[in-house]
Amino acid sequence: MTVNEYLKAVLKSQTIASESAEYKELTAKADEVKGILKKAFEGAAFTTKYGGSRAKHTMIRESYDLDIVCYFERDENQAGETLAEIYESVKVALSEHYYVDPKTSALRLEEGNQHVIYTHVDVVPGRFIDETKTDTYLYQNGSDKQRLKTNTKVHVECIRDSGVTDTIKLLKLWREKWLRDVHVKTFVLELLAVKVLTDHKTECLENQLVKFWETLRDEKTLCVVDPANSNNDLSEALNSIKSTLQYSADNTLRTIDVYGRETVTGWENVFGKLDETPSDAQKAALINSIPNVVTQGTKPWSFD
Amino acid sequence: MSKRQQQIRDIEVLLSEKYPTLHVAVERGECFIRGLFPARLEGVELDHYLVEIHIPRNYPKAIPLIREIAGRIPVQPDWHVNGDGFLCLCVPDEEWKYLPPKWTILDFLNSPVNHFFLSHIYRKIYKIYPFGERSHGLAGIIEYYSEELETQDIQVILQFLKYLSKDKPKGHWLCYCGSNKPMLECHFAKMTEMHEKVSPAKARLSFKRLNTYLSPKK
Repeated sequence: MTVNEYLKAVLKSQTIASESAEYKELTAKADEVKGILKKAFEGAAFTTKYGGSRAKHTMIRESYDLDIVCYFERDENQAGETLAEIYESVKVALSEHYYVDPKTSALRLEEGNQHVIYTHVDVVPGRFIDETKTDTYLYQNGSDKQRLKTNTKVHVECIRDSGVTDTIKLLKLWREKWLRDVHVKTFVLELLAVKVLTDHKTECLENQLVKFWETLRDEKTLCVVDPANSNNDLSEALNSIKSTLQYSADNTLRTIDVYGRETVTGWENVFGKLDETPSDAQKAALINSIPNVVTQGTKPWSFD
Repeated sequence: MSKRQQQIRDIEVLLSEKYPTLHVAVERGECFIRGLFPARLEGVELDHYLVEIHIPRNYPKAIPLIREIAGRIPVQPDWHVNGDGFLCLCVPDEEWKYLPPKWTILDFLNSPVNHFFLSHIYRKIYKIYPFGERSHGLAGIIEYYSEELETQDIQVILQFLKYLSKDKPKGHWLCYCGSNKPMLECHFAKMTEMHEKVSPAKARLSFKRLNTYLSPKK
């Protein structure tokens, strides 16, 4: 198996096929959410549609969510006059059916009785700026700047039509493993990939990935501009975690280089072996068994 | 090749076989291991952590120092991370329990480091440490010796540590347990056993800490 074949197999394993039970369950949940919103704001002029990775064609099984944008028209006040009121109204409407975890712009939906389970559905409330229904204002929960101008259509097209969505999917998978819990906004990572790979679209997956990691490792500062809002400087989001990105990229390249870039083994150490990923249920059972399996585990201490 | 260079080479070889996502870097004469550490149970990777491990110059006499650098574990005593970011794997005096006498970097990674991260995974879900945890600071050291000597008597622990700090504890010394018998007729076997496991240097540090704590304040 060549490296390119391996990477394609990884992509395949990360694809949530439209005929799969997983996908059907997800879209059914999304339809349910849309129905709830429609009922809650009956008669109001608003639009719900898919945003995020579903629209951008960059969804991966390892970590996915379905973003539903819920944008009210400019003069529509049923959900509230201000962005904060709209955000709150949508949150209240959804809270009758789910546990709602409010994020900066999105409302994360969870459900369950004893154990709370993420539905994989996020709702992003907002208001269209004008009649063209493209530019939108989003509420920024907990931020100094409460209003953010955005444009879902521009964002989606920028990524979906970039010609590097496969590489972006692999980079998202890489982030899950090498940058877990490091706050790297998916969109910022995607934009950086598009920028770095602009002149490398025709190259194979492994060359594109290496180019991306080398950029993270070698560039002193990283610059990314929001294509829908030039005032939204995304560079800071990257540069604030630059050293961790650099560190991870460097170690990723070194991991591959142990066996040579043409050898699959090094790449397997980065992305994992095919068909060897335990299921969530297997992992949960193993975690539960930790005290029984490890007979003499260390007792952590603290010097002070 | 110097002894230190050979040590570093040996570490590189061991890592490339068992931990291919960890790599050695030598900077200004200091040796570090950096990369992704896989927390495993029964061969299955449950999670992974970005780490930096500093190999001290007196390795393997002293164990390496490890930091988790992606900020996944709060730098707080309650999460067993010191203020300088280093993970507190265990009370130094009980390291011997988890490392064989001639331990290698793999023993260190497979046992105390892996246990620490498994504990973190477990705690995040179940809110407790699966193997228990030591109290912070001196209290944790006392806990360990209390268990080891099966006593709550702090003076016994102090005396034991005093003897343990010596390069060669003598059998004719009065036993640390307070029996007034020579140690040879009392707990000399325990003292000898522990002296082989806990280095006098480590015992000295604990003794100093406990002695300072028990000394009347001026």
